[in-house]
Amino acid sequence: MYLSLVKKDFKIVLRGNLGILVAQMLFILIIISVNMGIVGYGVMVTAFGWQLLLSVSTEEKKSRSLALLIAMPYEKGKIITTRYVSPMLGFAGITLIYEGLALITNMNDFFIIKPLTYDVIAITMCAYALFISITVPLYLILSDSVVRGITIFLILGTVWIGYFLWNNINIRNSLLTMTFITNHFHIVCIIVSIISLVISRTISLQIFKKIEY
Amino acid sequence: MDYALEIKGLEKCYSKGNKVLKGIDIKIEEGIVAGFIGMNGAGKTTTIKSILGLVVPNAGEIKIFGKSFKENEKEIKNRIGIVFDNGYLYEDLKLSEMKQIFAAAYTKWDEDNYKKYIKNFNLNEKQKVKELSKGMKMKFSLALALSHHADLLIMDEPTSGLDPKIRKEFLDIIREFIIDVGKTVFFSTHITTDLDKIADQIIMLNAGEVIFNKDKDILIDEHALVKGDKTILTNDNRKWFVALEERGFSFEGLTNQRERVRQEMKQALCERPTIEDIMVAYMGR
Repeated sequence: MYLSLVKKDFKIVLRGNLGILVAQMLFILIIISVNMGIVGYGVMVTAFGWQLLLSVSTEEKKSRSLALLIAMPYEKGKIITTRYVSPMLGFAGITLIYEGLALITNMNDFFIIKPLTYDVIAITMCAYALFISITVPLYLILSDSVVRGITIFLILGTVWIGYFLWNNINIRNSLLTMTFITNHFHIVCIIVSIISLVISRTISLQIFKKIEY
Repeated sequence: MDYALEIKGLEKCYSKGNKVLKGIDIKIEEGIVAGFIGMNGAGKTTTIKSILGLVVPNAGEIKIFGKSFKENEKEIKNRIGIVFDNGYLYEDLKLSEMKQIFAAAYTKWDEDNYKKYIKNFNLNEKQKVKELSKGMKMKFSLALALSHHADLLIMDEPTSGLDPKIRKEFLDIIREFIIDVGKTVFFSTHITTDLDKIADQIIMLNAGEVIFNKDKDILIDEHALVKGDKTILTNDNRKWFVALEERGFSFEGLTNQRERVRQEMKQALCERPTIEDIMVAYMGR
């Protein structure tokens, strides 16, 4: 059941959008990665997640297909879980693509794309999970154009805050001062990601149960 | 007697004071085709959506195959085939991709059956849903609804907007479906000629209330379309009509007291009404 719904999400986002997505990713890689290093990876991942959520939501609102899914034996919980599984799989996919590109370019001594460290992946996943956790319930209750506006500010704000903290406060060193986080940095990121996704899913499910079609 | 669908006291209020369904009761026996008619806004779609769990009723109970829908939702949905007016299909997906979503949801999905329908309906699985005409989209919806051996087919205005040829094909498929023992069809429509052709039971809804819920033949037999000279109308016999239209020297009306009219208004001409005549008459009351 999950597989068919996840496949459906990816088909919606990739069909007709593939060219734009590739161009968008290349733009991010070239412009942002060159100037802001690893931030390009964060923006690339978030852009994909944003595109996926937006495309699926637009399609489902346009054709009212969610009503069809609900009328079928799909459980509401599973439909909502897919809303989180698809972007998280997108995150994994984009991370692999980025890392692949970084390896290829670095093999040729062409250091535009910085390779990823586990710290970067963990903190990006944490930020991405928070982004997904905020936007999924919003797509359920608000119109896509409103969420699009909120998301732009969310992405810009997150990128700016992240970049500012990275450069000025040196968040890595700040975190290192805390013994617990030093020893459990990746676990903390994973736990925060899971907690945010679980809380968000619970909220989304409650909203979804009340929506009438 | 086994019922495919039982609705008891169903109420739905979308906003305060706006009661769309006012405690409706419907019973549909297994093995029949039940037509659901009524004006726009009568509450037909809301009733169907309540049955399918798309809206939450304020009161009432829905039983399908004798089981409470709330408690056996998944099991019941597995036995229902659904066809919506607009399809509600993912427009950007190919037919084969849309099929995969259905196949994953239903435990009794029959790929051979699906292929048979796709071939019979001349559908190309590589096409996108949005590339299909309205008629083809409805055929595809029907193929999806029938490919998991549904016992109850619920359709919301499936024939609206279809040309007569496709409508005929559509009705032929319904006829073929109903041949199997225990299969039931419940569909809403505005096209009452479809009901004349295939319905066994007619349920009419008006302003959220069931006006009648009867066997089609009994319903038609009980009514008569009466035509005659206006001079034979009196204040007393005017009351025998559900709807009465007086024009010039003549009148035309629908009565639900056919025998009485025949006996006491011998100069009037009594004709067999169509479902449309009955529906329009009750709507105009």
